[in-house]
Amino acid sequence: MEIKNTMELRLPSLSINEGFARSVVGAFATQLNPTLEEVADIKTAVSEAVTNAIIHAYPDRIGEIVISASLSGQTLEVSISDKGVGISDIEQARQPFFSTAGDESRSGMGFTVMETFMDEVTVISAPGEGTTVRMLKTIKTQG
Amino acid sequence: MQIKVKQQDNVITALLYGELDHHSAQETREYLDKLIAKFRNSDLVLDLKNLSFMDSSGIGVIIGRYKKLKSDGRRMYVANPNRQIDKVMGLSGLYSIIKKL
Repeated sequence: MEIKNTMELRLPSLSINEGFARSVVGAFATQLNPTLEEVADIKTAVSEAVTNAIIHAYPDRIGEIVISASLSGQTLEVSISDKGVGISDIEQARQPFFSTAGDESRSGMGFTVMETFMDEVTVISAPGEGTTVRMLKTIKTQG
Repeated sequence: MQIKVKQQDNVITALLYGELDHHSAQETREYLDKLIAKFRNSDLVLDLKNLSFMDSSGIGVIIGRYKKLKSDGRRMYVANPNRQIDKVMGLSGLYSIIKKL
């Protein structure tokens, strides 16, 4: 029988938690015996999603970010959820170089990085209700 | 983030240590801006040999400094990125405006 492993992490939207969040998910994924490059891909994608939640979901307050991950077969599924302001136009937000942050704190490349480094990225969002970014990555079995 | 600076002729080299993400972006930006203002006629090399991680927040920091230097007729380069950082910089199109040494 295939055993599915899961984990969940709840954090306030403080920027100091960005490094912690990506390290935790990267460490969790090592159970799939990934290459160093695959771990780096996962950490980078998680960093982008968590940073988006910190900057965009809660622009004026500290809110909660929930990071949940599961391993099933060779696939990692990771979701980053917030209950912040939400995204009114998801398609526009996913365009390369699009950013609503005016102070060059972001390059507008967050979603492009997530899409490139993970196999699948789904964004569910509603204005006033929050956003969930769900990402999948299958780790190739090592020869 | 820790930054060490070397100067030779008209080139300042800033060695970045640690991780460059949104959390460390502001202090990195402020430090580099002071450096750019202090050495008025120098080009800038960002040596990333000891930078273990960077996400797209770092792209914003680098491109912002590049624009500042360019408006002064000065040049900027990046050197020694690890594979993860190289991938993020390549994907963002950074190498189309900033040369990797």
